[in-house]
Amino acid sequence: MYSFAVSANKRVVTVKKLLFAERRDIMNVAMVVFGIKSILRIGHASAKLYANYSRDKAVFLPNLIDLAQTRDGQVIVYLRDNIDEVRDIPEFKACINDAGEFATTDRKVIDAAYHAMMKRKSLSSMSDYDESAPMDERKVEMENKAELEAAACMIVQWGADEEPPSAFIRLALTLADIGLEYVSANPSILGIGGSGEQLVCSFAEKMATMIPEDMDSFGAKANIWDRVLGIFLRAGLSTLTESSTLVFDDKKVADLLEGVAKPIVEALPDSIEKQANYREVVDVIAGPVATAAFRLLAENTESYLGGRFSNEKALGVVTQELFKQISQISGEHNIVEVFTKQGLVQIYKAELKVAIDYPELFIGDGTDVHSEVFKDLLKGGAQVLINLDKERLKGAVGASLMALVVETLGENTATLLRLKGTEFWDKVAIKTIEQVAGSLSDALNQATTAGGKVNGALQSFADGQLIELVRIVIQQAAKTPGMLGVDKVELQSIIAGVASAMASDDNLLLSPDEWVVIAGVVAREAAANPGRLFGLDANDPEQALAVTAIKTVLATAASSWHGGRGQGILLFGETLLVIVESLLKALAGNIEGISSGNMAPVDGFLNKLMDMASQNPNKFGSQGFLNVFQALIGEVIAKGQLPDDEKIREILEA
Amino acid sequence: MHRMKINFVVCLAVTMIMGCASLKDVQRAGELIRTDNELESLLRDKAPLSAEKTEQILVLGHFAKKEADMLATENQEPKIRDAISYYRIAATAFWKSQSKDISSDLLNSVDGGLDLCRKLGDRAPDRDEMYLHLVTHYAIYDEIFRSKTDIKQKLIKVNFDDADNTEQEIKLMKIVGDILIRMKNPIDKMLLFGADKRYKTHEGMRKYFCKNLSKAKDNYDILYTLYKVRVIQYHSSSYILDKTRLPSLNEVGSIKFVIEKPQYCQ
Repeated sequence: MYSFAVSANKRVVTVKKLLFAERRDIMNVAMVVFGIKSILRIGHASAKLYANYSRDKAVFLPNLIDLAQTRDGQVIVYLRDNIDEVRDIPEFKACINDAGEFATTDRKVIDAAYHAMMKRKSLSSMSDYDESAPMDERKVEMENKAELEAAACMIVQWGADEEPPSAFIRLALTLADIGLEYVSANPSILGIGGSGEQLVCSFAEKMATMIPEDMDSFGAKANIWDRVLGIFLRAGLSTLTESSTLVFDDKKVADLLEGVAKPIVEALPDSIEKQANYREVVDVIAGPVATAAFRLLAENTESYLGGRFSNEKALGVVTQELFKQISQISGEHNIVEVFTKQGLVQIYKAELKVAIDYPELFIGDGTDVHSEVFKDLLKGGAQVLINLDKERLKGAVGASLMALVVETLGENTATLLRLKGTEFWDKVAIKTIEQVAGSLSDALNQATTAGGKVNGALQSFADGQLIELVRIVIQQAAKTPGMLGVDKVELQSIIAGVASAMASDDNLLLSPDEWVVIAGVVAREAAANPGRLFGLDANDPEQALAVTAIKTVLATAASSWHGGRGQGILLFGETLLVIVESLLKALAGNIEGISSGNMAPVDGFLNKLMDMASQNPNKFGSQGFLNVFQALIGEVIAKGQLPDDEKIREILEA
Repeated sequence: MHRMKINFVVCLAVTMIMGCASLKDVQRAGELIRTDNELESLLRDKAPLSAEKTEQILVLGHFAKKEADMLATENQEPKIRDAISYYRIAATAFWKSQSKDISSDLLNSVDGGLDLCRKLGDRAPDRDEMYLHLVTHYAIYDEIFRSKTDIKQKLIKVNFDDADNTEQEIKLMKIVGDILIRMKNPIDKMLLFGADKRYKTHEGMRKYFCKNLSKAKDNYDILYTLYKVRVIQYHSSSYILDKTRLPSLNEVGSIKFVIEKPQYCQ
């Protein structure tokens, strides 16, 4: 191994000399890319030597502790090393004894010797240079001397002279390193000319433009660039492994790095505390952020990023704002704490999609940046969650609700934009989050007993089902012109109303999934009939027609339930779901018979059918029950009268 | 920038020449490079050593030692060589953390690394082995001056030709006398390992060793000279009646330690 390493180093030196001899500027980014390609292509073959490189490369070895310098000390050392030449010079003679040793404490004498020493050193260094040499050569000579001095702390394993690893090299090695990780697992994408190889090279090319020539200005960001670049490359390669036909072109990768990766690095805060927190959050969030960005790119490589020049700018604004907010985290109620890291990723993904579809929301006409849109959204949403008094809706659930709102509003941005322009969007979003979270919180509070027990259907709702219920309502609301807005309360009325109805389902006659369906129907019918199913006043959602109707059906069903399933008991589950659906649809028709919310006809009709079903079990199955109800409910609520038995039998026997 | 790129491409070119190894080798190599780089960036940072920075260095040191201990148990040469590198990183981190509680971690890292070097015999990595021989003594040297980096500045203010602050000055002189005695051992050890013939052929290590030996020698000579001049002043001072509190001139002469730099450092 030793002999190999020595010969390898000799080869390194030889190649270096050749390259320098040919042309000092022979190296360029293309060659680095070539190097990375090579390393990927030889895959395993390079691994062992890469390992050798890791051990044998130059490393930094620190020096002994520095003691503060004094003039006395410098004079002592100078005299020690030059006593023969200087012993007769008066300034030095004054501070030595007969043996030529430094022997004074007199400050004036020491200062004089010090000045004499500095003068001699200065003259000596000037005489070291060839005065006739051109200035450039003298400069190079001085640089070489300084380099020689510094070289003592960067030391290679086997003796060859090397330089410290630059940030550029570290990044390049990171790319090659990650590429190699994928070589064995995904040989198809990292084969010659494979999409993976192309991606790695796109990264390398973009990387070169992102690192300034002046490395000092790069400073502390070098390490985080290394991490972020690695995270993004992994995300890109993972996305490629999911689709063998997918190819990312250079321009799109460059846009993505510029738009999404760079803002993460740029937002790195200065203080140690904030930087430490930021790095922690970046470790968790940057991966999903990168994955989300690449997935979006993969989903539609034609129109996203590149189809419209403004996409990447909008991505940048959104990403920058997210990480800027994260970088300011400290104390209580910061956005990471309020939304959780995973929740933030969800919100970001939703916002990212909006930014790609509607970049004008974030960059206006291209000359102006509306960074406050996402900032206000994050801050506003966070405030809504902070103000909630229901723990269940905070953190990840709250973030999911917010992501849901952003996503849904995003899908229907065209409608909102048509209404009030770009300034309207984030305000509506915040209002919507406030209404949704507030309604759910109120409903949960009302359904919760002093002992903490949750009554009604809400007790069996998992968080995911709760979010699904909200989704179905918001989706309907968002696609209905005029239903959402900063001064609109319909959405709040619907969610609060449905939640209130759910709270009355103590016997759990409907499953959470069935309630989600009902919520959808309620939203659809409410959308089609403004002001009828739900009043335009959100203060008393329980009195809304739809809510009263659902509660009436539930109460009637509960009266026959008697603690469980039995012969002739039909009003539960799917049958009950269809009954509620049919009733809600019927409420869009003539409702003269139940004016002022008097639901007695509905209650009477259901009871009559249940009685008939229990007396004639062979005639009344659930389907027959539904047939009769669907056929006659319109008439019942129009006239306020029960249908006669003959009419019911006709339908049953039809 | 161009030279940096050259280094990288040359390294890649070398890697193309031969070999077959596993993905784990690559990951391990990447991890080693990253650990080295992180330590380098912490040590190059000119900011004063804060509690946070010390903690970061220590975390890195413990990580490196753990990796080294783990790799050392596997009887494969590449892993042993990685372990030696990790021991070198750990020892450096423990040394430069300037923490008081790391003595055994430092010594265990050095011993661990040198044991493995002995196992490899002639194939042991030059730099790492030579460095591991030195690092304990460098750490001892640094420890002597911990919280005393301004000792020379304080010493030049000592003046026994007046009656001011005599008690504090005598106390400081005793500290310096103690430092001079304690400096001998680590510098002796540095000189001992400086006899390694590899210093003649390993230019980087030679420069490193000589630079630090010169530093130690200069500091010793300066401190000794400043100390001796003030002992003379003390014994001739008319302000001090009790002349027994500091060593006599003969005693001072007897602690004088002449540091002869090896020929290759001249």
